[in-house]
Amino acid sequence: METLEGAAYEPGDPLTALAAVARRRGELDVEEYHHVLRARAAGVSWRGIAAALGVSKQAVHKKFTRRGSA
Amino acid sequence: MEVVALPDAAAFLRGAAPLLGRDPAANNLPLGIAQRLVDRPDAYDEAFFWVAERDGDVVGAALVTPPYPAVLADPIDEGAVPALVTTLAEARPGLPGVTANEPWASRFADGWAATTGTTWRIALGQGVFVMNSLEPPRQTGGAPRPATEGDRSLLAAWFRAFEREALQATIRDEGFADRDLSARLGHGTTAGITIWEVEGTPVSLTGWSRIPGGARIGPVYTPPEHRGRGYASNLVAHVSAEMLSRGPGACFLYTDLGNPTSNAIYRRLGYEQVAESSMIAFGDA
Repeated sequence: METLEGAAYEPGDPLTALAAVARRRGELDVEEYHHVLRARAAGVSWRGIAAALGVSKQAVHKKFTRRGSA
Repeated sequence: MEVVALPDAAAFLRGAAPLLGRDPAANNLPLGIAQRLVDRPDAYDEAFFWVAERDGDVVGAALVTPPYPAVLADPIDEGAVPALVTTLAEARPGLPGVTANEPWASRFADGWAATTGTTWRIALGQGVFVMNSLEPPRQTGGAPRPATEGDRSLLAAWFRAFEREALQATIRDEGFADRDLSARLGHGTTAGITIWEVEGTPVSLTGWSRIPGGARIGPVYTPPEHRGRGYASNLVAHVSAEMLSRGPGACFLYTDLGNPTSNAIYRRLGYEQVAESSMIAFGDA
């Protein structure tokens, strides 16, 4: 591992690493939907789901009703 | 019974979640289409979504992505089917058909015929399969690799051949097909294509997409000259194992019930049939 003085303070190409982050984010989104689906099918309220995610009920509603690419 | 139109795929996944989540295996097709639209809102030119509610509970759901047939989730109240027929006959009068698990597909088609005066026929019967635990196949030569942009023209030809042969497809939206291929070849990880290659020659392809509930496997295509050597079997096994290791849920796939060879291959890998789906065409289409 290099110091911050060098451009490469972590091994590997940062763009490759960012692409990997984007991939993990896409997977996490699907995983989140997966568990939300299970929770809703089990009768869990949106309030309960929001609490588990650590966000407000409004935030959950907004997230799972987002439109298009917004 | 009340039918409510929803504005987009995310609203559909949220609104229909209690219904879809009851049985992700049986509902993997509507889940897959909705997830694809959440990932890529431009996947289809247009998309329409409805849920049928009784006393505030979601008991049925449908979506339409023109020019393709309507897709129904498995309802949990029989009354959802006629209610959805009434709504769709009003909203999408030129609907070319419906794809759903039986008996719902045929019931929807009967209702559609009674409402619109058109005829209907089952264009294709498909098995809906689910797999939670893989049975590894006998190994064959070659190895898997992710498809890339350089494979585009070959994959486009194979996708087209698959649609003609396996789906007997009469409807094809070139724009959708092209965008779908781009999405699968792009950097996203929610959908992709894996190729089986023998000494530098691609011999089989398997598509995959991650959905709430697990992963959809398909299309699976091997050109005639490379069949009978276990390539698809090994490739589907490889992709299925990767999907199971990467996230929660099971693997789902659709088979042509008229093709005993492919059905036997999937069963040997640990896939079990959970439903029979019909692609129904309205009118003389």
